[in-house]
Amino acid sequence: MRHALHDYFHYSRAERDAAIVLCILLVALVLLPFSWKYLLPPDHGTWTPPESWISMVSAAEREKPSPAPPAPTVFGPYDPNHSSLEELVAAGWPEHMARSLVRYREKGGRFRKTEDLRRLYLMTDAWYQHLAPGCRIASAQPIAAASTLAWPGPRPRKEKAGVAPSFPFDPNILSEDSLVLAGLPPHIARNVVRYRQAGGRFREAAALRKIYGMTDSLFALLEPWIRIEAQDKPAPADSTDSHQPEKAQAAPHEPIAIDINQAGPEEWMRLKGIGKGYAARIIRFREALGGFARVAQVGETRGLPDSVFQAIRPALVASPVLRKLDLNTAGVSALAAHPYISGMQARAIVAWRSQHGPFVQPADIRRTGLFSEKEVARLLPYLECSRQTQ
Amino acid sequence: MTWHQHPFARWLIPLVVGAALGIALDRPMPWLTWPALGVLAALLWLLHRHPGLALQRFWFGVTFSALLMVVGYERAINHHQIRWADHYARIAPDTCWLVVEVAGEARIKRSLRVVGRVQAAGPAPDRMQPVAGKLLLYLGIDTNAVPRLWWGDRLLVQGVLQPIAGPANPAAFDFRQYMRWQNVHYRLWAAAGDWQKVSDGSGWSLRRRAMQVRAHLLARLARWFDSEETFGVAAALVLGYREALDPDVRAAYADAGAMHILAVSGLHVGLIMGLCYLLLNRIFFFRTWRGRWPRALILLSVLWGFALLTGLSPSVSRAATMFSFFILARLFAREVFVWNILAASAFILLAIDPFLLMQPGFQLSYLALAGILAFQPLLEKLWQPAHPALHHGWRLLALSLAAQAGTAPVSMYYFHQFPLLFAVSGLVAVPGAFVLLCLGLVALGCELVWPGAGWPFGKMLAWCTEGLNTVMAWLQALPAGTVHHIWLQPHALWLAYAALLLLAMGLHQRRFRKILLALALLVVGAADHAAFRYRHYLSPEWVAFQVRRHTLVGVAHKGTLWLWHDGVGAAALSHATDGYRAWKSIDSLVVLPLDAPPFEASWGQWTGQSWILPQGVVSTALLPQGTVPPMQWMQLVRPGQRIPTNEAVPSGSLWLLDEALHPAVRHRWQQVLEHAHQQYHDIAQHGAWVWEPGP
Repeated sequence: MRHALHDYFHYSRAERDAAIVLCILLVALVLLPFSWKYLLPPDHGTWTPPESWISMVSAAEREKPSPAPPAPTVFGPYDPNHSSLEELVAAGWPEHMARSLVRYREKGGRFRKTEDLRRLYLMTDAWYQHLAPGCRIASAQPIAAASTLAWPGPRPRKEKAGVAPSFPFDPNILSEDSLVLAGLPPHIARNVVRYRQAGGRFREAAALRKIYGMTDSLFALLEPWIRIEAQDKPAPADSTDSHQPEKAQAAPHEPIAIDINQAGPEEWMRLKGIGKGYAARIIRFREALGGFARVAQVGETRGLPDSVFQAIRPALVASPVLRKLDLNTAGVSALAAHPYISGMQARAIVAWRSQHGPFVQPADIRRTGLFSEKEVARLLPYLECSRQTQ
Repeated sequence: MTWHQHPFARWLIPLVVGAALGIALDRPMPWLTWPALGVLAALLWLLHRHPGLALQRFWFGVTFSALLMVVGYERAINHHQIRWADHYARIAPDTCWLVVEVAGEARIKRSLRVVGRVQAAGPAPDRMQPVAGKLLLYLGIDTNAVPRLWWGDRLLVQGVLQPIAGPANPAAFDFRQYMRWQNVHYRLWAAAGDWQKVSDGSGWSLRRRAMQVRAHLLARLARWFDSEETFGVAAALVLGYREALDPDVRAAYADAGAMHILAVSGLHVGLIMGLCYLLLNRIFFFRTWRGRWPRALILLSVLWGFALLTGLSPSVSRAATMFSFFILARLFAREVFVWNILAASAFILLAIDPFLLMQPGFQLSYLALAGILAFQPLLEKLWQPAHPALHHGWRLLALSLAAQAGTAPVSMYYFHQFPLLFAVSGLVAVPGAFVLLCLGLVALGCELVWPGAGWPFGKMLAWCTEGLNTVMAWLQALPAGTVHHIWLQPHALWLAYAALLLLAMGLHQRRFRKILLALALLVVGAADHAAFRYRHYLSPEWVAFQVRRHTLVGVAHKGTLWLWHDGVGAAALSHATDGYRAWKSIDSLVVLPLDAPPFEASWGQWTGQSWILPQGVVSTALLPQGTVPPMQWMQLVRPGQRIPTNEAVPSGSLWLLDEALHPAVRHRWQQVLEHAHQQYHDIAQHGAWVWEPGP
C-alpha cells in the first residue's frame, strides 16, 4: 500500500513541468467565468431590445386573435348542467371550452348559478360576457357584476320573487314564452313545459304547486290567474320553443322500425333529423365496426348530436352483428381497421398471439392486459376465435 | 502499466473526486476554495523550484492532487447555473417576457420542444435586463406552418416560468434530476401566439451550420425510405438524429440489447477516421514527412465536423477527443497508451462540464470502453480459433461481453432491465451497424456529388435497415429475452464496480487474492440485494398513484401488485407503475376495476364511491356527523363524492384528493378541509401517496 501511494504521488521532472502547465490552464479555467464580465463592455443594468423587435411585438399583438369571440356570433340558450357538447357548440361555445365544461361535469362539478361559469379553466371575461346571458340553470340567479367566487357553505334556499301576471293563463296550453309573459319565472316556465312533454297534465290549479322551483309565495301570486280548461286539448307543439333547441328534433310522427344493421341510407333518412350526411356516417361507422351490437352504439357515430339520437332511438331495432374479427387469424391491419382497436393494440395482440399461442375464446383478450374492462365488454361482440392447429 | 505512462489517469482521480464532492455538497465555499487554490498553486511553484529531496517530489504530487480536487470542486459549484447572480430565476417575475437563444435540437410533437439560453428577461419587452441560464421551452405551433428553428435563433417569448416537477410516482423516472444535470431547472409553455422568432442566428456559428447541413442530409436520406420506423433507425445510426426514432423500435433495440448502436459513438467515428485515413494514404503527399501536418489537420477537421454534425453527444465527444489525441500523438511521434487517452478525454470534458459525470450517456460511454479495454483481451485469449470467420466471430462476441460487463450495472441501475440476448444481438447489430453506416455515408456522398446517384445505395440502406429492425423485433419477441423490473441500490452499484475493478486488476496482474476479493464483494452484493428484495416482499404497501385524470390505487404485497383503476390505459398504467414494480420486486400484476373488492379487509373498503383505509382499525363506512372515530382512518376522495359543508367534515382523518378530481372541485375540497382543520394530501399537486400499514 505504501509503495502504491508513493508510486502515485511521486512526480518526475517532466511530469512536474507538465503539472505546472496544467495548473496554469486549470486556474485560468476556474477564473474565466468571473473575469469574462470584465472583458466585455459594461452594461448599464437594463437591456433594451432593438426597436425592430418592439415594433414586431406590437404588430404581433395587434394581429393576435382577440380573446373575445369574432362577430357576428349567435349565442343561444343552454343548460351548463345538462347540455351536451354539440348543444353547447350550437349555443355559441368554442369547442375547447365546451369540452372543458363537459369534463368539469364528469368530474362531479355542478353549476348552481351563472357566475360558476367563471370557474372553468379557459373562461375569460370576454367570453363570460357573451355566454352568460344564454345560461339557463334551474336555479339560476341574475348575472352579477362581481367576479368573486362564493365557496360552498350552508346555503339557505331563497324564495324567488315573481312578477304578478297580467292575464289569466292555462298551464296546459301556453308555450314557454307565453308562460313567461304570463308571469312565471323562466326556469319554472321551462319546468312546466317539461312536465307536459313527459306526459303530465294540470287538472287543477293546485297541481302547479308541485312544479320544481315553485314556492308558496309565487304560487300565491299566480293562483288567481290560473284557468284550466276541462277538456283534452293537445298541448301546443313545443318545437318552436327557442330555449330548448333539442326539442326541434322531435320523435318521428309515424311508427318506424329500423333494423340498425340492415337499414340502408333511405331507411335511415326516414327518421326525423337524419339526412343524407348522418345516414352516410352511420352506415360508414357500421361498416367499420362490422355491425352494431347495441342500439346505443348508433349514438357513437361521429358528429351525430345526442339529441337527434335520443329522438330516433325508439325507432331503432337491434339485430345480430354482421361481421366478426377472428382473433387467431386477423392480421395487424385488419385488427387496426376496427374502430375499437388502435394500431399499437393490434400489433400487441399479434405479438401476444405469436408468443402465447392462439386464443381459445374471445374473452381471453383480457389476458393481454391491453384493454380495460369497459373496452373488453365493448369489443367482445365483434370477436371470435377459430380453432387453430399448432 | 504505470502512472508515469498514464498521467491523465492519475490526474483524473482527484478531479473526479472534487467534482463529485461539489455536486453532492452543492455548497459554495469561496472563503475556503479561493485561498486554498492560491496557497496550493504557490506551494506547487515552490516545490517545483526546489525539488532537491525525494520527499519534496512526493509532496509535489500530494499538493497537485489537492489542487486538482479543489479545481474540480470549484468547477462543479460554478457550473451550477441556478447559483449565478444573473440567473433569470432570480430576476424574472413568474409571468414575463424572455429573449431566448436556441441551444439545442427542436423536437416537434404536439408542440415545439427546445432548450434555449435566456439572454434577457423582464415584465415587458421594453423593460428587460440581461440574464443567463438555460430554459426548457414548449412552444405552441400552428400545424399548418411549423417554423424551423436553428441553433442561435433568437425568440421572444411570453409565458409563466415553472420549475420542472419531480417524479409524481414512487421510483418513477426523475425528469427534474435528469434536466438538472443539463443545467435546466425551469420550463415554460407558450401558446402559438405568445412567441415569435425575432432574429436568425449568426451565419458564422458552426453549430448552426452543422444543424442545417444535417437537416439537408436527413431530407435526402428520407427520400429513400418508405417507412418512418426504418428511416428513424437509419437517421440515428448515420447522422445521430434520434428524434425520428419510433418508441416501439427503440424498445425493441433496448430489449434485444442493441440500443448502443443507435447512439453515434466510437464505432461510427472510428469508421469515418478509418475511411479518411485510407483515402489520404492513397495520395503520396500525405504519406510524406511534409504531408503529416496537412493530413492531421484534415483528419481533425473531418473528425470534429462529424462530431458537430451528429450533435456533440457525450459518446461522440468522448470518441472525438480520443481520436484527436491519437492524431496528435501520431503527428508528434508519441507513443499511444489507450488508457491515458481515455482518461485525457474524460479529464478535458469534465473540466469543461463537470455535470457530465452525472449523465447516463457519459457514464455508459466511458464504462463501455473501459470494459472493452479491460476484458476483451482476456476473453480473446481464452479461445483463438484458426479459422478467420470463427476468429472474427469470437472477437465480436468478446467485444460484446466485455462492453456489457462494463455497462451492465449502470444499465440496470438506470433502466431497470437487462437483455439476456445481448451477445446474440451484438453479433448481428455491430456488423449490421457497420454495413448501414458504410451504405449511408456512400449514399449521402454520392448524392451530394451527383443528385440521384445515391439512390441505389440509399435503397440498399433502406432494405438492410428493415432487415436489422426485423431481427431486433424477433429477438425482442423471444420469451425471457429481457429481465425487467430490476432495482439496483446505489451502494450495490458501487460494490459491483469495485468487484469489476478488482477482477480486472486480478486477471491482468495474475493476483488470485484480488479475484477472490472481487468474488467476495459480488457475493456480499448479491446477499444484500436478496435481503432488500425480501424486506420489500414482506412489507405490504398501499399506494395512490398519480395518473392524469384517473384513479389508480394499488397494494403491493408478497411480490404481487394489485391495482384498482377507473379505465386507465395500458401505457399510462405502465408508466406510473414500472419504477415502483422494480423497486418493490413485484413479479406479478393483478389489474382490477375500481369497484372490485380488495382481498383483505385491512387493505381498505370500497364504499361505492371511494376508498376508506384503516389506520389501525377497520372502518367500514363514513362516520355520521359529530361522531369521534375510535381510530384514525383515511379516505380517497373521488369525483362524484359530495363535498361536505364545513360543519359536517368528520374529524380525525386524512383526506387524499385524487388526481381524477377536476381542479375547481379539488380547490373546493381544499377550502372545506382547511376550514375544518383537516389534514389532506393532494395527489395532483404533491404526487402519489404511499402508506405502509403499521402492525
